[in-house]
Amino acid sequence: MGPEIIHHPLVRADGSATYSSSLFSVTAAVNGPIEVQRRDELPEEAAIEVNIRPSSGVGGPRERWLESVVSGVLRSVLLVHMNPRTLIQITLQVTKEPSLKLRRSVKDIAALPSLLHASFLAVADGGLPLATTMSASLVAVAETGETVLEPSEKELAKSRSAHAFSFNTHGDLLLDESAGEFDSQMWESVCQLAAKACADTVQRGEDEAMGNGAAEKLPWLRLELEDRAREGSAWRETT
Amino acid sequence: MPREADPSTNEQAFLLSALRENIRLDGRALDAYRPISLSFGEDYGTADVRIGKTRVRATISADVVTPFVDRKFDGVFTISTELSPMASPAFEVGRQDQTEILLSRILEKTVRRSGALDTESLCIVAGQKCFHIRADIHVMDHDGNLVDASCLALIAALLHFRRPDVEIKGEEVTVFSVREREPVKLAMQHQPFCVTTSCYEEGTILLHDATLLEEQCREGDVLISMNKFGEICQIAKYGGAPMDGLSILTCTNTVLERVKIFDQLVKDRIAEDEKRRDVGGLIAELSAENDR
Amino acid sequence: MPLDTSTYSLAHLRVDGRRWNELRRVHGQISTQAAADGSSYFEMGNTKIICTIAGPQEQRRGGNSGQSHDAKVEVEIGIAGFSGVDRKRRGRNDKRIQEMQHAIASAFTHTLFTHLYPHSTITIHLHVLSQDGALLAACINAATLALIDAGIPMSDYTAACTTGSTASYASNDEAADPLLDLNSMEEQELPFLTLGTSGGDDQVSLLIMETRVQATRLEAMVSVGLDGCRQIRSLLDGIVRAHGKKVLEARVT
Repeated sequence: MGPEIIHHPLVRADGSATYSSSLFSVTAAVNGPIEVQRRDELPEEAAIEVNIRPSSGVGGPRERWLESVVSGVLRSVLLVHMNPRTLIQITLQVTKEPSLKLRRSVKDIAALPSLLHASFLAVADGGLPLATTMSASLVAVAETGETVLEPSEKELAKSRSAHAFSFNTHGDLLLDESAGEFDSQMWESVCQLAAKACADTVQRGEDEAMGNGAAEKLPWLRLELEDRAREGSAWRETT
Repeated sequence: MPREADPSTNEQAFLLSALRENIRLDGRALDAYRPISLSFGEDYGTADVRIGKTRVRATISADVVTPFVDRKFDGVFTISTELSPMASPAFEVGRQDQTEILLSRILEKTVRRSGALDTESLCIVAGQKCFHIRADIHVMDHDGNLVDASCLALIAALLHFRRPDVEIKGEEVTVFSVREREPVKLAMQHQPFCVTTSCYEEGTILLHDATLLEEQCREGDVLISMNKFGEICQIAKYGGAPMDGLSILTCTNTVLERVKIFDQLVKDRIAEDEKRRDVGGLIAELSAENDR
Repeated sequence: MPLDTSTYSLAHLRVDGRRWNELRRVHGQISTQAAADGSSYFEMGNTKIICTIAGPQEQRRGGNSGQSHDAKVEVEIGIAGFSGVDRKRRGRNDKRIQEMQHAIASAFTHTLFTHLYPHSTITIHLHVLSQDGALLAACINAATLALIDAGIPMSDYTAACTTGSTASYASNDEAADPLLDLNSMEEQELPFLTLGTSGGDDQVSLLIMETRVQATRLEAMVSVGLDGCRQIRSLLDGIVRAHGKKVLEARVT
C-alpha cells in the first residue's frame, strides 16, 4: 500500500499537498515564484526558501538542518533558472510524528523522505517547472544486519542505522543521509535497495511483469502524477 | 514582503452596497457563520478547525519543568502563535506582524488570563516540578476570522488533550508514559470562546465571521470572548469607527448565543471522539474520575 | 490585600478616599517640548505621561504601504523603568505594549483627518514617567492634547478613562457598584475596562477589557465610563482653551 496523499488541501497557497506515511504526516505549501527580498535575490535563478515547522514547539537547529537538506534536493529538481530573481517559498508543517521515543538523529533521517515527498507533490501541484520527478525512500538496518525498507516505528527504534535516499527518474542519486553504525558494504546494498524502491514508485514494473508485483509495488507516485495530469487536462477533453 | 492584495475599488463598493441591502457576497445572514468543521487528530490534543476556507490547527503538548520562582504552586501554560507563509504569502517567517500580535494577545487574554486552564492542577512538587502545557496554533489557511477559529481550536484541543499521569512517592516522581498508564484530562474551569463582530457604515451594520475580503473592507471590529455562563472574559475594540455604547452591549447578547453554539459543538465532537476511541468500554472501566 | 472591599461597603469610600464616581486629579499642559511638532504633558492621578508628535512628515522608505492615500499613524510607547513599583524592563517586543500601540494608532486613524496628508506619517511618541492605573486611557488623553498642539485636524477629542466593578463575579450580585477611574491597586484587584469616546453622543471608539466579569455588570460599567469620558473631555477642552488663550495673549502684548 502506498502512502496517503491529499491533493491540494490548502486554499491560499499556490500549491499544496499532504503526505502521510506510517511514520510522519506532513502538509506542504508552496508559494512561488514570488517577490524576493533583496538580500536573498539570486541574479540568475530562483531562490528557494524552505521552512519546517514541527507539530509542537518552534523550530531549532535540527529543523534548520532539515531545511537546508530539503532545499538542496529541490534545487536539483526544480528548473530554478526559469524564474530568475524570484523566490520559491516552501512551508512544511509536520502534523504527525512517531509516538515512540526515537533517537533524534534517526528521527531526522526518517522524516526526510516524508518531507521531500510532501514538498515535491506541492511543487508539482503549484505548477512550478520541474526538471525531473524524484522519489525518496527510507531504509533501516536492524541489529541482525537485515535491511528493512520503509520500516515501522518499532523497527526504526531497534535499528542499528537508518538511511534516507532520494533518486530522480534517471536513477541519479540526489540525497544520501545516514545515521548510525554501518560499513561501506552495507551502505552499497542499502543504496541498491533504495534505488530499486525509488524506481518502483515512478516506473511501471516492466521487467517484473505486473503479475507478481501485487499491491505493494504499485507505482503510487506515478499514478498520483498521472491523475493530476489527467485532471489538469480534463477541461480540454470535455470541450 | 508580498503584501496582501488590497481589494479593488469595485470589489469594495460592490460588497458595501450589497451589505446595505443586508446581503453578503456568499449569501449568508449577517450573523451566520460559514460551515464549521471540527476534527481531532489521532494523538490526544490536536484539533483541526475549519470555518469556511479558514483552517487552524491547534496542538497541545506537555513536558515536565521547574516552575517559576515566583509561582511555586502553578504549572506553566504557554500559547504560541506563529503565522507562516502557508496561511498567506503576506506572513513572513520570523517576523511578528500586527495580525500575529493581536491574535496572540486575544488568545492570551481569553484563555490564559481568564483562568480557563487550572494551572494549579499542573503542579507536581511545589517549587520543583510542574507540567508545562504548550499550545501551538498553526494557521494553515487564512480566509478571515482567524481569531475565532484559533480560539475554538485551542479550547477544543485543550479539552481533548490528556497529560501523562504522575505518581509521587515522597520526593520521587514517576511520570508514566501513555502506554504505561491511562493519561489524564486537563482541569478546565470554563470554556471561553471569542466572537468577532465586524462593523460597517459607522457601526450600523454588524456582522459575524467576516471573510478576508469583508475584513479588509470593514471599518472596525469588536472582539468579545465569553463563556456559556455569560461571563465576559475579554473585550477588545481597538479604535476603528466609533460605535454606540448601547450597540456594544447588545453585541454581547448575540455573542453569548454564538458561544453557546460553539460550546455545544465542541462538547458533541469531544463526546463523539471519546466514543470512537473507547472501543470495548475499556476506558470507562479504567477511569477513576468522579463526576463532580 | 491592597483593597479591602469590606470597608468600601461600609463607608462607600475607596482606598484613596474617593467616591465611586470621582475622577482623580487631572492635569495637562500643552507645548511642553519646543523641539517637537506637538507635545503635551498629562497627569491622571499619579499616572504621568509626556507625549510628543513628529509629523506629518514624509513616509519612511521600506514602509510596506507605499501607495496609501492617507497618512499613517504610528505610535511608540516607552515605559520608563522607574515608572512602576517593580523595576521591570520591558522589551520593545512586549506584546502588551504593541497591542496598546495598535489600539491607540487605530483609534486616532479614525478621528484624525488623515486624508489631508497622503504619503505621510504621523508618529506619536508616548513616554510613561509614572504609572498608577489607567495607563492606556492617560496615553490616549495625552496624545489628543499633543495632536491638537501639532495642529493636525481632527473631528473631535478622543477622551478615555477606566471603569471597574467592585465585585469580580458570581458573589453578591446586586451589591456590585461600578467605580470610575481606578488606580493601580484597584486595577490589580477588580475587573476593569478602558473606554475611549470621540464624536460626541457617547460614541465608543475604543473599549478594552482584560478581566473576567459577568455580562450583566457591563452595562453599569460602560455607562459610568461614558460619563467619565464626558468629564475628561470637558477637562481636555478646558486645557486646550486655557492654552489657546495664553498663546493669544502672548501675541497681543
